[in-house]
Amino acid sequence: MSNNADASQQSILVPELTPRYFAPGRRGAAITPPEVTLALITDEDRFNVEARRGKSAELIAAIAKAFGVSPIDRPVTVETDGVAFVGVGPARWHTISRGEGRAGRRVRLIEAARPLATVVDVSHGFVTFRLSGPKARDALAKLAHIDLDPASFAAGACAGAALHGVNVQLRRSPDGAAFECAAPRSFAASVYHALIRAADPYGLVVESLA
Amino acid sequence: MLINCPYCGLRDLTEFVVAGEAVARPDAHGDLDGADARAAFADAVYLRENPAGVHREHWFHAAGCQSWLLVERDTRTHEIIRVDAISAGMARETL
Repeated sequence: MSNNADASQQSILVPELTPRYFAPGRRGAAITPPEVTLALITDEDRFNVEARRGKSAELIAAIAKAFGVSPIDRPVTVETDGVAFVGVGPARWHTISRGEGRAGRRVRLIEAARPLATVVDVSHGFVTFRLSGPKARDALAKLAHIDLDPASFAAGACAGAALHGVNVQLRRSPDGAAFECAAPRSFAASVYHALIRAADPYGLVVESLA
Repeated sequence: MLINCPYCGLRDLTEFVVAGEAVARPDAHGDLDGADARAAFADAVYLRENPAGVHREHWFHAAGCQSWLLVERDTRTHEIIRVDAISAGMARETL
């Protein structure tokens, strides 16, 4: 694998969350403009929220009161300002919080959910990549076992799925323009290299979103 | 082969782990060293019907939503007749 990016190009804002293998820059076929963008998302808190037995409806109501949106008990994403509730299993969600105000949202989530659910901070357990661009779906389809056509994986859809042999949390952004792939951190290097290989023929830009 | 997971929808067989014929665990209360309890556990652990036809199996959606499923399947044709998520409230005899 070619690695023509300089380590000094990595974000200086979040060095501890930028994996050593991550190398921003232009890669793959010389197509202008490049048809896939792979971005590393570094300003993310991620919580696994699992309702206690029989408390699912109460939990949804409590979160709705605290955040103004109701998580849905299906594999879909519900988003509001800076926070997303992603269905990952029956009565179980990943709560993803990004950007400014994360400390406040963390407190609000814990206060709303604590009596009704287990809340586990899994932020450092995952590395999240975002694929966008006109050929993002084609690149991803080479690695995923699920049908990514908008008819079956619509905007806002999410899925626990095998990607390149690794179980990842995959979702399509609510505007439908991008795919996000949260890989377990220990396996993320493998997923990263597979994504780069898959996007190679389309021309690729790798960047870090801080 | 596709399995229709109640949470995730139609998914490939490779995402699942099969845990064999669905056998209800014997009552674990009372005298577990008694002859009846030992016989019941020996049955549950070792003995299988292994029918040529319709039977029920436990499957786990390992690469998806991580639900345990009760799958009714025909061993002759591999036709999947029914898939249910196993829930805490399910009657013991249905498992």
